[in-house]
Amino acid sequence: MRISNYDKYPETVIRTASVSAYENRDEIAEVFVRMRRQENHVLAVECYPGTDDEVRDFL
Amino acid sequence: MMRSGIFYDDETLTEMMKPFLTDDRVRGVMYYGKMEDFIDAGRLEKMRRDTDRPGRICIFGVGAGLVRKADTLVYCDLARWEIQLRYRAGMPNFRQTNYKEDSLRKIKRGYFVEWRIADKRKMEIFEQIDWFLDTNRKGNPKLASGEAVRCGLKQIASQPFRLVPYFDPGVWGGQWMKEVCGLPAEEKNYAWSFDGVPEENSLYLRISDVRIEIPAMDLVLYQPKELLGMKNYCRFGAEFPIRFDFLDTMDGQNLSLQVHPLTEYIRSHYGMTYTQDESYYILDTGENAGVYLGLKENVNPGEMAKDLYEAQKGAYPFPAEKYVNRFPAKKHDHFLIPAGTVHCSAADTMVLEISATPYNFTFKLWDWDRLGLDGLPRPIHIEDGLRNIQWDRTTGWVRNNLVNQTELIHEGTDYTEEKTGLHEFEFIETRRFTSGGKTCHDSSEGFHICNLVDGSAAVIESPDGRFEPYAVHYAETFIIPASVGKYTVRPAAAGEEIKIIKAYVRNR
Repeated sequence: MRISNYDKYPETVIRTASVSAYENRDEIAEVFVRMRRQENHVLAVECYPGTDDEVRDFL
Repeated sequence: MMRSGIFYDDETLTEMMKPFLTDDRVRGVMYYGKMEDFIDAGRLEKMRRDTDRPGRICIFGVGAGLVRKADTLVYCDLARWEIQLRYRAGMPNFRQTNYKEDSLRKIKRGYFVEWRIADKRKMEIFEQIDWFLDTNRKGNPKLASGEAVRCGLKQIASQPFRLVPYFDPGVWGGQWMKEVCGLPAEEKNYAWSFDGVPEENSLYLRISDVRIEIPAMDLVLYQPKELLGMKNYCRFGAEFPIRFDFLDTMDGQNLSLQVHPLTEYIRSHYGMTYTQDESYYILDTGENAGVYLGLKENVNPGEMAKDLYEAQKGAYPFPAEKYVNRFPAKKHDHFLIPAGTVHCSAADTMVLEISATPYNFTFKLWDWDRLGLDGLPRPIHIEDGLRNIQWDRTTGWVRNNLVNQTELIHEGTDYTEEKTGLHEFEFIETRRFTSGGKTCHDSSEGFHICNLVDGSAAVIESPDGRFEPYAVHYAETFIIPASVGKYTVRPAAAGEEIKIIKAYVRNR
């Protein structure tokens, strides 16, 4: 049996110029706060079925 | 903040979906409509009136963007495998309270209706999305700009890539993947791995040091021509038609004896446009490895049907080897399984399944008198199976048409290219490259999906530097989009011989 260096977490590094992703919960919350702070502004948070609970905390 | 309450109530939704859900535990009928079909016009109108005012408006939920045109649009995304795990853990279907319902029935509702309308809706707004919220890790979401995700998908559609694999135990599961793929030893077994099913798998995008997970289906739907190639797009639409997955029975048990529906049957009963044609490429074997395939000569259909029904009632075990051929299997054998052929992998056999994408249409005939991991008998579909069995696929025909139909295509100084399948009834072409050096390929006619079936590692390169060299390891599945065009594959280590199995849609 040949043992593999099988990669269970293959990822693609995306070549993008802007800093445009967040994984820290506070940072994500801050982005949502900024979105909601704007006057006369419609924010729509569209959910794939099953995701509603994940986003509610940020709203 | 308002939740988008624009859909019909729970019971009405179920009533509307009923023709597509059927009474079967696993299979429904494919729904080709839209999300708007399930929206209550009165409720939508009321929500539009309620939000038609100046100030700060926030609407969230499924279809939220249908209420008002958004100044900022966030999309919360989730891959299908994670949804299935959550169904098992008790998550209900959309707007339902079926927390405790059989997860197979929840998956059926997702597969045949909910995911279809949600995917369609997602693609309608995909270009307008300002932010993607990745919700695949419960309680630990990630956020990425729409621009970055779209840029990432365009990049992936122009280079070799891999999907995020997943592994699942099963009643017949084995021990091979645990060792070879480095999976947790404490799990009792692993039966399936989906590594090469964009419809189910996800993609990891590394954006600004953050790993974002999105459904691989987003890529198929957003970049279909670049990924599939124009010919495949015209034939299949935005659908990835070939899947690679593993079936591990090493130190495990036989799969259920089964048959898949013919095209006419799958179309008329389940609304699918093409059927579950399959093949088993043997990656590894134990002492008693084998494949059950096709019927013995002179089988009496009535007698076999009677034995199947009696076995199902528990009267006696189904005498499988009285009716079905059992071929011994060795590493690199390739068994072809056009729909309508009775088959299953035997214990002690490690299979790379190279098949058409539909996978929910298995008519189990006999499950060897055992229960599923949930303690319930797994669904058996003898009647459907009997309607689809091709009774003339018997020993001689099977041996001459479906077992190791290998044909040498090219032989160079340090490589061979062989055609290993599939059967002419199936649309998939498979080629095996055995090489100690560089081999040249061209995906411009249509995508390639490949697996390194021998050798420790290989490197995929672009002759004109269009993408960075891409390394793959033994047993990994990788995809070459049509837009890549010319590429080469070589062993990572000088002096090593590798084998690659490559599948693509055969152009008639």
